[in-house]
This record gives sequence, structure tokens and C-alpha cells, in this order.
Amino acid sequence: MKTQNSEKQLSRRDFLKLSGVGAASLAALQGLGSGFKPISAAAARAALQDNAKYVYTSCVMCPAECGIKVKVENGVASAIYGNVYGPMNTNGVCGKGASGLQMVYNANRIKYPMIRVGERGESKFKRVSWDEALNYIADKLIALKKKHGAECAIMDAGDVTDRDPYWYLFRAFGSPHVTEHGAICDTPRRHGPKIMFGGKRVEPDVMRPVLVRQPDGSLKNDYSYRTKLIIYAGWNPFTATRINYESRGTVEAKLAGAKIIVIDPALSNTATKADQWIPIRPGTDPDLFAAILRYILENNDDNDPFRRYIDWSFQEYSQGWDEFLAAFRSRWYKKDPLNGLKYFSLEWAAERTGIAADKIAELAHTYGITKPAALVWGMNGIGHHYNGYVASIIGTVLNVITGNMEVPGGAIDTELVKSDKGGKAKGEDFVKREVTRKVNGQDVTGKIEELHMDYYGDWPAAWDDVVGDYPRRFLEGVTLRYGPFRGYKYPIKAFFMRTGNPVITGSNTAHWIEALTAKDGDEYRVELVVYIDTPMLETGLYADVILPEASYLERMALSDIYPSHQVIYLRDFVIDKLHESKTQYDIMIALAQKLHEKGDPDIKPEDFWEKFPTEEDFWNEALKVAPGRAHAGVPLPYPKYPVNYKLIGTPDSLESGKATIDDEKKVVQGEYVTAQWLREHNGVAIWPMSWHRFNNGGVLKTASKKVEFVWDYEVEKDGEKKRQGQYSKYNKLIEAAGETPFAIAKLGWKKYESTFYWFETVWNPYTNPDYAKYKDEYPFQVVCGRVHHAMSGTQLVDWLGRIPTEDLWAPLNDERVVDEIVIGENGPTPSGRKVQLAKGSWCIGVIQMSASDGRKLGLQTGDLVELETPLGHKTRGKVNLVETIRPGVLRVAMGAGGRFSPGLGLTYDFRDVTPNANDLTDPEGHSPIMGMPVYADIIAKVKKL
Amino acid sequence: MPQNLLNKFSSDVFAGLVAPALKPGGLEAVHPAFSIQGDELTPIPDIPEGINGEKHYIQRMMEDLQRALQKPIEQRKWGMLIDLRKCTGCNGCNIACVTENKLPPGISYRPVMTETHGTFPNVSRRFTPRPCMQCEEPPCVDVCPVNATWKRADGIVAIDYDKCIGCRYCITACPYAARSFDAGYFYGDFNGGERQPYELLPSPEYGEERVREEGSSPIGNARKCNFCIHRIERGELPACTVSCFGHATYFGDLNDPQSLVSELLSQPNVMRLKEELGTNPKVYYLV
Amino acid sequence: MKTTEKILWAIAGLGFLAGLVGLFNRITGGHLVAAYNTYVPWGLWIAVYVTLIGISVGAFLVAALGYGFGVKAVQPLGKMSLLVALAALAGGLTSVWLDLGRSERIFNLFLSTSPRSVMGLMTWFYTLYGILLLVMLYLARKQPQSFALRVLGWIGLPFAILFGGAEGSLFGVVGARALWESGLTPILFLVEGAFSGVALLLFLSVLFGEREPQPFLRNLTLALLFAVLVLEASEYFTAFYANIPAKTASLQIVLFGEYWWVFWIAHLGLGLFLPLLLLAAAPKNQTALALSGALAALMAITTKLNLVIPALTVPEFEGLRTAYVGPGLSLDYFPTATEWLVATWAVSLAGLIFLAGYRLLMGKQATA
Ligand SMILES: Nc1nc2c(c(=O)[nH]1)N[C@H]1C(S)=C(S)[C@@H](COP(=O)(O)OP(=O)(O)OC[C@H]3O[C@@H](n4cnc5c(=O)[nH]c(N)nc54)[C@H](O)[C@@H]3O)O[C@H]1N2
Ligand SMILES: Nc1nc2c(c(=O)[nH]1)N[C@H]1C(S)=C(S)[C@@H](COP(=O)(O)OP(=O)(O)OC[C@H]3O[C@@H](n4cnc5c(=O)[nH]c(N)nc54)[C@H](O)[C@@H]3O)O[C@H]1N2
Ligand code: SF4
Ligand code: SF4
Ligand code: SF4
Ligand code: SF4
Ligand code: SF4
Ligand SMILES: [Mo]
Repeated sequence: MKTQNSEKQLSRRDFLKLSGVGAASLAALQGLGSGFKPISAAAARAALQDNAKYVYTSCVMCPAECGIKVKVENGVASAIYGNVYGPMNTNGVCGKGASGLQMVYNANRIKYPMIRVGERGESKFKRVSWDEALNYIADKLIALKKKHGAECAIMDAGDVTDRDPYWYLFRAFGSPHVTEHGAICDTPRRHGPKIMFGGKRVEPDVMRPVLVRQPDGSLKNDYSYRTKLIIYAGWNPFTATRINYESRGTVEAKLAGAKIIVIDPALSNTATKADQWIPIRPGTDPDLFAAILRYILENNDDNDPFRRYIDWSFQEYSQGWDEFLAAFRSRWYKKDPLNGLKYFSLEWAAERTGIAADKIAELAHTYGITKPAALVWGMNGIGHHYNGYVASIIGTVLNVITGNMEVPGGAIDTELVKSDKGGKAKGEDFVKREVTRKVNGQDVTGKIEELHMDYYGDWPAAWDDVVGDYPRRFLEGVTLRYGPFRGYKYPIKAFFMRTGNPVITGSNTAHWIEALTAKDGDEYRVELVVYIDTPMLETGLYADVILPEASYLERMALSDIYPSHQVIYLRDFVIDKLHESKTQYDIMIALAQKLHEKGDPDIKPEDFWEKFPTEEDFWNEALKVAPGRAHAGVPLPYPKYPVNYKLIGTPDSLESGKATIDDEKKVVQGEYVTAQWLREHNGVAIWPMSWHRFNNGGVLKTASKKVEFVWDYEVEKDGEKKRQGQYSKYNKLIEAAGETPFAIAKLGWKKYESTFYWFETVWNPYTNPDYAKYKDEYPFQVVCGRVHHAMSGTQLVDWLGRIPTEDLWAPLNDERVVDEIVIGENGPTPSGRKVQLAKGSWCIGVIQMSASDGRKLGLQTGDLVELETPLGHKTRGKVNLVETIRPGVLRVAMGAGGRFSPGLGLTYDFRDVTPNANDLTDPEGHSPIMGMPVYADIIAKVKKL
Repeated sequence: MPQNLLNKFSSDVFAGLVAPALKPGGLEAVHPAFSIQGDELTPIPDIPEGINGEKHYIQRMMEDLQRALQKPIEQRKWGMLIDLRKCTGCNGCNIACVTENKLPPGISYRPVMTETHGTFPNVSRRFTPRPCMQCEEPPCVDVCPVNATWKRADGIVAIDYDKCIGCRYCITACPYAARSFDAGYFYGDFNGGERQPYELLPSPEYGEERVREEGSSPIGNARKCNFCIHRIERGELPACTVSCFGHATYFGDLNDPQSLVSELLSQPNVMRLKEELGTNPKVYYLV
Repeated sequence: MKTTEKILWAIAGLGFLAGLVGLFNRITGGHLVAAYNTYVPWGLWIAVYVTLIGISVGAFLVAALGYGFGVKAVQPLGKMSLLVALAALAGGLTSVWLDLGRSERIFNLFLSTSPRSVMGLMTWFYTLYGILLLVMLYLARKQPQSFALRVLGWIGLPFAILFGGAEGSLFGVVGARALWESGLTPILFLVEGAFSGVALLLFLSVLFGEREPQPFLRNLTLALLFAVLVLEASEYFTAFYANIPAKTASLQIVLFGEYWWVFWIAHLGLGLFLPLLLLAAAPKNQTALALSGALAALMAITTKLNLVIPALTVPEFEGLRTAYVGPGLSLDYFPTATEWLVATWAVSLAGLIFLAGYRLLMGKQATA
């Protein structure tokens, strides 16, 4: 109990300055603001109509990118609703989505271009004009390109997906290194679907409504839930709203009779609605999945309706099952050195996962017998572990052999069925250009893309890049080991970071800082760091140039969404650009012009301003490929068009038959979708849903057009032998070079395995014998979880700071009076105000700990502790003792603590008592196949401070 | 003026004496409600029909609502139903309400309460969004010394901001903590010192547009959820209802047996908060 | 002027001046300067208000006994007790007036009174009571032996009892707060008010050298003290016995919460047992009488604090603790510096009114 607000420290200004809002609207506002004017409801309605409008657009407060409807009053965005016409979220918005206004109008927005004046990290900047900033960047880029080649520049577009203009520009400039957040998000999680389907994201079929062709030819909305079982392993869609329809869809399916099982060490919000919560030991999901698969294989009986787990029809659209099965079985006769039990047996899995053997059997039986069902796994549960691939592959296999893929109410790989977009606007053609480099004294010619550090470096299979390993690349440079440029070395000299914050999110924080501040003599090793974003996050503190990007309500783009069938949302201009911010398109064109003026030979007017005179032209280009999926499944979306042809064009042109059929290219071409078409249709395009889209090839993207259980195999075609399968490409490179990538060499492999494989995770004393010795000294496993904030980017939003979440984000703040810092003309600047915060009035990131562990350690909720890993990495935070977590596990909120950017307002003010999970991450911890950071393999001891 | 005063006073005394039977009527005499014309209503979204002829629940509820608006106000009885089985605790409704009603820091008309029971591993957690219950027998109305809080003919408990003296008696009297005191904070106080643009806009308050600024109401007043009267009267659903991410919130006319709320209310698993107090809430929960 | 009176003037003057700082803050800062909020909507100022009203009622009872019922012993204190009643009323109303969210609308209480609201009714009671006090004071000065004064004393007594009880029912009718909702609350209010008012007069009688009424006042104080003890004990015991969760939760806070000492040391120890001891052990000792009177009157605030705040710090729903948080959404309440200052100002104002009235009414007598 403390004095609150004891003095009025908050300065009050009578003069209201509306930053960025036009003078006219300001005047209009003040006109309305003359005291209180009671008016009738009818007059209020009229007033609303006169001064307010609604704009359909799409959210970016998290990567789910829901369709939203924004109310704009007098030029000011004032409320955010869901877009009832979009089938994914339909009318709903979540707390983050509704809070977008405070992102857009935040005092801590980057308002002007700035150039660093102090050292990196000192957060000293000066305001410059756009012209100065772009000159600085263009001069540096051209000089670096001359010296090191364009491949020394990286364009990382972080977590916000509407990045095509940047990719287009950098690919045109000649760099193969354009990326986004996938590489630090979940590549191991996507791996199974990727190698088996050519897809990525398996989700339950619970998106309703879906538009379905009816027997009478009409298109109607299907609202029925057919799912009977959903198992979520380490996937928390209720809080981590990645696939937004999973929150309502899951409960609706449950009410319609489905059983929900959640496997998570903590009682996530999703687990609150589960029929069964299984608090698994972290990092053991592959073990659980493997035991389920073994149980199903051993106990399946085709003749017993109560044991008919396997639906053999999967063999019609798959290949290589026997090889997979043989490899899987061969392991279950071996004994685990750790516990002497046979691999994948129930007892073995029980020992490792901490779940009783009979419970595992029951789970396996339930999953096998209940159809339709979906097994779905997430990032922290699986994607963030060293061996997440194994779980992802087994999980995918389980969904396939139980007959659940693509059946109504089953599981859908949304990557394969979402609308295509981007097309030529991604600039992929540019990296097919040939370049010549001197390798060991010889001129070698190859494609720009063959200079890519990941395809041809340590992780040749890292098809989504290796952002988590950038620090090492910054420090050591790139040595290509495979492909035509084998032996070629180049440094990384320019790093463009747009809407991402790797210093906090992209593996170990100190390691990133080290890489960004390393010097050769007086010069920073990475000579140019540019930060492009709306708010000022930690990575910005290490930038040389900072560019203010227009917020999502001030720009145009297309959403990147994962529905069960093809849907696209437009992102549209809602309000005028605030401050001096520019859109991605503006920045692309402006920087291209500068580069062109300064003589860069690769930037051509006909590729840029002549081709895309307006922003809308650019996005219309990106829409030319939509929806771009095979016309497949039951019921067939457009019975009048041939099966498996690619559909292109607006839903209404396809529906009305205003389309041409190209039998040679197998394309049905209607009228292109355009931004204007979307605008006229409530911001949404919806094409019909169907199921069974794997049959006859359908939407599958594998070479064989089948589900592949083998990933490097030979086929004979026209008498010629051909290597196929998702790993074959990399294995050919490895074989040609005769050098095994170091990460898989550590697994004892020579190249990528051609079918089922197994390896243990790291830093887990319960499953990996190499780490068993740490069990007693480091008794806690540390995992992460999401809160009602999006990654590290929204902690400046006041509303979200007021919503306690999942025992991870709790109002345990002490009372403080802080000197306010805001992002001003010259970067972070004290405002001169003192802000007083009462105790318990603001949420901070805390360490969720089992109450029983707390009792053992003599701790109480609110006590400050330090966590330390065997590698000596430390972080600190207040413990929150609760019953909602498995003993022996500590959970911290991702992006919520230790936040040292002054641009984060109140969250910054509590950086000294909040934990940053990535202070603990092993900087060398990268998963072996794609180099993804292993955020979730952490063990620690706890010390009270 | 004294004569008026006396009239009003005596009528209230009378109303008080014959309570509860005549209570609502007595009050409406003093506070006329706004009238609605059908052609001013917001159009209902055009969404493809369902395979069994069913409608999107938002369409259905908007139709219910607009049908109710065609009736005289005293024949409508607005009610809300929140399906706790479906609420995911996302707080969409909470913040949607905050933005809709332009609420200042520290005021939420619809916080989402989290309650956790049990010990590991037998733990359960429930989310309960808590708007104003719009009690049929509202204790907040009785305690208000100046008649600033009153019950409209359609059952919505309203506050007359120009009358309210800010004594906060009603806040102590509401068993649901549904009333807040507007002490006068602005988001700018916590972020940069300057009012944020959306704080400068007038907000819809019981049919009036008011700009919230120092020295004028609603600063210093009691505030609460008003079922988004301004939206209802345009033929729209309350902001929390349209925004509900879990599709867990329903709204409509309890007097209309055809309405979706009435239909859902006929289920046996309906409950209300603190039923024992006899406040007779019009917010129901499905459990 | 006697030294004692000078000291009183000095204390009240200082309090008044210091309080002005708080008043300034309150006027310029609105309600941001106070710690009462949405979850704990009433705080120190309400506690001060009900305490002073209690004292007023207590003091008035003494006056009514003297003028109306001819209790000789207290007659010398007649005017003083009326004055105390008036000053305390003014101070209390000032405190609650500043507590209003929109103080400038105070007249709405008259223009738009709701008869169903205890607070609405109280508005008119206060007005009548204030008029009654003024008239009685006038009569006491001009026609101390008049029949009118006696009649007013007669009428006044039940009125004051009703009034003290009504004050209690302000809280007693609030069903939402288990701690308040009790038939006993009005009676408790009345008895506690009488106790503090009588005790204050006992204190003043010593200060102003009025020895005659002291034995009576002492006995009355003691009797009321016992009544308070009995009532409080029964209230607490029945509550714990009945074990209504919300009520016992509040009582737990009172008895064993962070501010346990307010109940055990300030209220029970200093406010009841020490006066009891002193009054019993040294019935004639001036210091003991003064001290016990002062303590009992001063500690009256603790009773009200323990009534107002713990009832509000128990949330209506447990889940509110982990719902939305922010300024004003706190279940912890401790008055801010400004609140203390304003409270000091209101009490000092009552003191100054009393002293000024004393000069005015009894000036000659006093200087003589
Ligand atoms: N609110 C919000 N939504 C978001 C985001 C956000 O930051 N905030 N981020 C978006 C992004 S980029 C992503 S990748 C997704 C992430 O989506 P999710 O993967 O669903 O989210 P997380 O909360 O990181 O992890 C899910 C759960 O995994 C549990 N877990 C941790 N370790 C283990 C384990 O070893 N085994 C099992 N079975 N469970 C474990 C955690 O307790 C947690 O509840 O969310 C997206 N949506
Ligand atoms: N320890 C640990 N580390 C993790 C994770 C974990 O669970 N634990 N999760 C990992 C995962 S899954 C991911 S995806 C990554 C995410 O990490 P990043 O890709 O670094 O994402 P963030 O920067 O955190 O957040 C999104 C960005 O969007 C920006 N943004 C938001 N709205 C707008 C807008 O309107 N306009 C513009 N221009 N920008 C906007 C924000 O400023 C921010 O830069 O972190 C990874 N790191
Ligand atoms: S789920 Fe994500 S995209 Fe959808 S409303 Fe919430 S924050 Fe916006
Ligand atoms: S919930 Fe509270 S504020 Fe709402 S009507 Fe009932 S008593 Fe009044
Ligand atoms: S705060 Fe306003 S509405 Fe509430 S009781 Fe007091 S005057 Fe009435
Ligand atoms: S009905 Fe309106 S005012 Fe009430 S909680 Fe919902 S959005 Fe808020
Ligand atoms: S928006 Fe709906 S699902 Fe989300 S917290 Fe509110 S009621 Fe629950
Ligand atoms: Mo992610």
C-alpha cells in the first residue's frame, strides 16, 4: 500500500498540439470542442456521417493481419473494429488489434530521418532531411558495392510482411540477402510440412465461415464444425494470435462436440479451454510425438473399428512410406543410453516427458481413433528447440497417416492454399542475373542467388535464411562452400533492418550488440546499419541512419494471412502519413532514384518509377498472381474450369466466366485483382473453399506432386535418372563440394538424411546425455510465452501495458517517479516531465514459477531473482508464484523485459527488474538444419537478489 | 423555478412511495429518451447466406436490434449475453470499448476478469468480461443524491453528466464495480505530455458529443458502460459485441422472443453475477 | 485571552495555513492529487467528514441535555457545545464538499434531490440542522432562559439521534459492501458520534476551566465508551461467527492487515482503553480528563477510517485484481500528502470557526 499520485507532477498544457494532423482538421476539432454541446441522437448520427468515415484495411499489430475496419473522425483514426466481410476474424479484433491507435499516435514514434552522431548504442542522433539521409545511404551503398559486391548488403524486413518494395529494391541492387522474420520464428516447426508437402503451416480446419460451392451451383457460407479433436502442442493461439480464427474456431468446435487437448508446460489461455491440459516437460515434444506414432503403428488393427488408427487412403497421394517406416522402426529396437529404455516406447517417453505412460497411450489412442482431428504444434513448444524438425516431421506424418490431412474438420496446410501474392513485385527475377566474382584468382560466373550465404554456407538447407546467425556473419564474413562460387569470401558491410528488432529477438542480445559494435580500426565492421521502423526499438540504437516508416494505417500493401482457402485483404491508406514518415514504396523509389543518380548501373528507371508511377501500381503488380493456386478439391470451386489449372483473377470474373483458359500453361485467367477492386469489395477477395486438395497432386508443391516420406530419391523420367525430394538439391551441392555442413556434421551426418531421422535437443538434461550433468546445479528449464503484445514491438502501447496476461505479464510494478524520455528530433530526449506510476498500475514482464518451487526456494511473489545458465549468461526479474506451471519450469514473456530502448515508455522504465529471455540464449545455439536460434533450450539456476 | 422544483420533487417522492411498481415510469417522465427513425439506421452487412439458410450472427443480431428499434422505447429491453465458454480472454472487447467511448487511462467499462482455481496440475481459469449489468433493480440509482443516475425506459441505466456531482456514492453501491470515477487522466500524461489526437475528439456520451477536457464533464463524474446507446440508436451493435474476437458476446432485445439473445437465454446453463442481491441484471452469462 | 486559547488559535491557524497548500493542489489539480479512485472511491476526506459530523451530533446531545432536559451539570457548557456542533458540522461539510468530483455542482443537491437517496435526504437534514444550531446559538446568547430554546432542545434531541443514525445508514444501506450493510451500523454511528462529541467537550471543559460539568461528562463519556465497546465487540464477533466472506475479509484487513496498528494501537489502545484507564483511575485529575477526552475525540477518525477503507479495498470480484490495471484501479489506498493537508485544513477550519465563535459569543465572559 503506497501513496499514489501524491502530487500532480503531470504537466498540463492548455495548448494542444496535434502533431501531424492537418491544420484544417485541427480547426474542425476545436470547433467541435467548444465545451459540451448536447445534441440529439439524430444530430449525433448526422455529425458522425459528416465527420467520420470507415476504412477497410488490415491489421499489423501482430502477424495474423486480420481484416479491420477503422473509424476516422476529422482525419484522426479513432477506433478499430473487425471487418465482418473477411472470413478469418470476421467481425472480431483482439486487444492488440483494437490498441493500434496507440501505436500510430505514439509520442515515441520515429518522426524524422536521423543520423547517428555518437557511438553505436549511445543513442545520440541528429535530425536530418530525407535527402541527407538518402544521400548518406546511397553513397555508402555504392562505395561498399564497388569494394565488396552487392552481396555485402542485407535487407532484413523483420516481422511485418508487407516488405516487397524493399526486397524488390535490394534484389535489383544485386543483393541476394533479403529476408523477413521466418528465420527467427519457426523454421523447425515448418520443416515437416515443407519437406513433405512443400507447404509450411498445418492448422485445424476450424475457420468458419468458409465459402463453399453447393450442389445446386450456388456459393454459400458453411458454418459447420466437423472437427472432433484438436491437439495443440506448445501452440497458444488464444494469446499468440498467429492464426486468428483458431481462438474462436477452437471453442466453437468444442461446443460442437470436439475434444481439445493442450500440451504445454504452462496453463496457457488456450489450455484454459482444453478438455485436457498436459503439462509436458519442455523440449520433449518430439519424444511424445514419436511415442504416439509408435503406439499407432504397433496397435493399429484394420479390422477392429476401435483400433483402426491408420487411414491407408493416404497411400494414394503419397510416396516413400515404406522407407520412412523402416527407418522409424529400426530405431525402436535400440536402447536409449540415458535410461536404458527402448526408443519411442511408452515407458521411454514417460521417463522423458514427465507424462505417465498410460496417459500417453490414452492420448495416442484418442488421436488415432478420433476423426477428423488435427495435431498442431507451435514455436516455443517445437519451433524453438534444436530438434524441433523431428517433432515437426513426425507430427506431419501423424496427420497424414491418420487420414486427417485435407479432410473436412481435419488439418490443412494453409501455406499451400492461401492466395499467392507478390509475384514479380518480389524482384526474384533480379537475382537470376549473372555476376562474375574472382574466386581464388579465377573469374567465376554464376547467378546472384548463388552468392546467398545460407544456401551456400553453413546451413545450405536454410531456405528461409539464417538471421539468428547474422552476428557471426557480421564478425566473420561469409565463405561460400557450395555451388559455383565455392571458396568465395565476402564480408557483410551493410545491414538494413526494417520492422524487426534482432537485438532483443534474434538470439543472444549481447552477441548481437557485439557484432553491431565490432570495429576494424576506427570503422565499424558492419559499416552501414540502417533502421527503418515506426517505433524506436533497441536495434535502432545501433543504427547509423534511422528512417521513419509510415505506420500500418498510413500505407498500402497486401496482408499475409493463413486462411483455409484463398482470401486476400487489402491494406489501405487510412490516415495521412504522420510526421515525416514515408511508406515502403516511397522509400524504395526515393532510394532507387538516389542510387540511379549516383550512377548505380543496376537501378533502372524502367524497373522503378517508370514501371510503378504510383504506390497502387506496385501493389497491383503484386496482385497479378492472385489467387494463383491449383483448382482442386471437393467440392470443386468452379466446376466449369478444368481441375488442377492455376486460377488467376478476381472472384467475380472467375464466377461469371470472364476468364480465358490456357491449356498449354494450365492457367485460367480472369480479370486481375486490383487494389481498387478490393476497395470496392470491403477490402476482401474470397475464393471458394474445397477439401481433399492433395488428391491428384492438387495444391501439393513437391516434385512428385505427392506427399513425400522420402526427401532425396531417384526417379526415372524418359530414361533419364533424376534426383528429387526437398533435400536432394542440397545433397547434390554437398556431394559436389565433398564437404559436410558443420551443423549436420555435429549430428554425425554426411549429408541430409533421405527419410526419418532422429537427434536429441541441446541443453536438456532429461533427454540429452551430454547435458545430464547439469541437472542438479541448474534445476530449471526456461521457456518463453507470448502475452497480449506483439513480439518486441508494441510495448510502448499503454493499453496493452494494462492487461495482465497468463501470469507472465503482471502488475507487479513498484511505485516510481521517472524522468520521461521520448523520441524527439535528435533521438531519445528527456521531455523534462516526471511521470509517476503507482504501485500495481502497470504490467511488467515477470518470471512465472511454480508455487511449490517458490516455497522450496523461500521465495515470495514479487521477489527479485537472478537466473544464470551454465554458460554464465544472466538475467533478472521478479518471480510470480503460481499454480499454472509445471514445477521445474520457469516461463518468461517474449520481448517484455530488460528493454533498454528509451522509446518504450513505461516498459523501459522497469528494465532493471524485468527479464530478457535472450540474455540467456546460447549465442552458438542454432538448430542444425536451418540455423534457427534455439530460444527454448535453456537451463538455469535461481538466485535471490 | 421553485414551482418546477416542487413538482419534480413531489413526483419523485411519490414515485419513491409507490415503488417499486411505478418506479421506472416515474423517472422517465423527467428524462425523455431519443426517438428513432427507421431510415437513419446503419445498413446490415451483406454476407453470403449459410448452407442451411443461417445468417452470420452479426447480421442476425443487427436485424433483431433494428426490429426492436421500430417499437416504442418502453417496449424494448436491451440485454447482453456473454458465453464464458467461448471467451478467450483476448481483451478485444475491453479495448474496443475504451476506444469506442474514448475512455481515459484507468477507466474500462468492460475489464476482463481472470480467476484461477486449484493447485497444479488441477488448475482451471476463467475469463469473465464485466460490463455494467444494467440492473433492473439498480442499487446505483437509489443512492444517487441528485437523480443523476437513472434508468431509461429501455432498461439502460444512464448518467446525466451535467447533474452528477461526483460524490461517488453510486460507485460504492454498485455490487459489480461497474462504475468508475473519472479523475481526469489523459493518455498524454503517460506518453509525451501532449493529448493524443484521439483524446481530443468528442466522445459519444448518452446521446451527446462531448470533448473531454479539464473543468468539464465527464471529468469529475462517475462513468460506466451504457450499452453503447449511441450505436444502438444508429441500429448498430455495441462495440464490445461487434468486436468480440471469440464471438462470445451477444446483444439484443430481451422482450423479443425471436431475438438471438432470447433464443440463447432459453438454455439451462445461463447465470447472472451475484444473483442473490436481487439486482436483476440484464447481462447474462453462459457457463 | 487565555494562554490555552492562544495556543488553540496558533494550532488551528497553523493547520489552516498548511492546509491551504493542500487546498491549492486540490483546486488546481482536481482529483488527480488524491488517492481515492475507482476501486476505493472514498478515502480520508469522507472519514474526516463522518467523524466531524459524529462529533457534532455528540456535542449537540450535550447541548440538548442542558437546554432541553434541564441537566444542570452541563448547562455551563451549553453555548460551547452548540458552537462545537456548528464548527464540526461546517468542517465536515467542507471536507465532503472538496471530495465531490464536481464541487461546483453542490447546489444540485438542493435543486435535484433524490428522496430515495440517504445522501439526498441528508442534504436537507444538514440544512435544517445547521439552521437549528444557528437559532439555538442565537437564543442561547440572547434569551438563554426562553421556552423556545427549551423546545428546540426537546425537538433537537430526537432529531440529532435520527440524524446520527441516518449518517450511519448512508453506509448501512449499501448492500454491495458487506462490512457496511448491517442494521447495527446506524446505531454504532450514533453511539460513536456521541462518544467522540462528549469526549471533546470533556477536553474543552478542562481547557476552558469549566470544572462543574466535568463529573457528568466523565460519566457520560465512560458510559458511551462502554457502549462503543459492547457494540463493536458484538459487530465483530457476529461477523466472524456468521463468516460472510466479504465481511470477514474486510475485518481481517482491519485487524490483521497492513494497518493493523490503526485498530489495535490507535483505536483500541489510545482511543478506548487509555481513556478508560485514565477516566477510571483519575476521575478528578485535570490532565487525565483532558487527555482522555482529547484522545477519544482524536481517535474517532480511526473508527471511520476503518469503516470506510477496508470495506472498499475488498474487491467486488477477486478477478478484478488481475483484470485491467491503471491509475485509479488500485485496491491499495493510503491518503496522499494533499489529502492529509486538505483534511488538516478542514479540521483547522472547524477549529477556527469554533474559536472565532467563542470570541464572538463568549468574548466578554472569556476576557473577564
Ligand atoms: N499476442 C501475440 N501474438 C502473437 C505474437 C506475439 O508476440 N504476441 N507473435 C506471433 C508470432 S511471430 C508467432 S511465431 C506466434 C507464436 O505462437 P506460439 O508458438 O503459440 O506462442 P508462444 O507463446 O511463443 O508459445 C506457445 C506455448 O508454448 C509453450 N511451451 C514452451 N516450451 C514448450 C515445450 O517445450 N513444449 C510444449 N509443448 N510447449 C512449450 C509456452 O508455454 C507457450 O504457452 O504468435 C504470433 N502471434
Ligand atoms: N527468447 C525468445 N526469442 C524470440 C522468440 C521467443 O519466443 N523467445 N520468438 C521469436 C519469434 S517467433 C519471432 S517471429 C521473432 C520476432 O522478432 P522480430 O522480427 O524482431 O519482431 P519485432 O521487432 O519484435 O516486432 C515486430 C516489428 O513490427 C514493427 N511494427 C509494428 N507495427 C508497425 C507499423 O505500423 N509500422 C511499421 N513500420 N512497423 C510496425 C515493430 O516496430 C517491430 O519492429 O522473435 C523471435 N525471438
Ligand atoms: S490477431 Fe493480430 S492481426 Fe488480428 S486483430 Fe489481433 S493484433 Fe491484429
Ligand atoms: S451494474 Fe452497477 S452500475 Fe450497472 S446498473 Fe447495476 S448497480 Fe448500476
Ligand atoms: S457520483 Fe454522480 S451519479 Fe454517482 S451517486 Fe454521485 S451524483 Fe449520482
Ligand atoms: S456495451 Fe458499449 S459501453 Fe458497454 S462495455 Fe460494451 S462497448 Fe463498452
Ligand atoms: S473480445 Fe470476446 S473473447 Fe475476447 S475477451 Fe472479450 S468477450 Fe472474451
Ligand atoms: Mo514468430
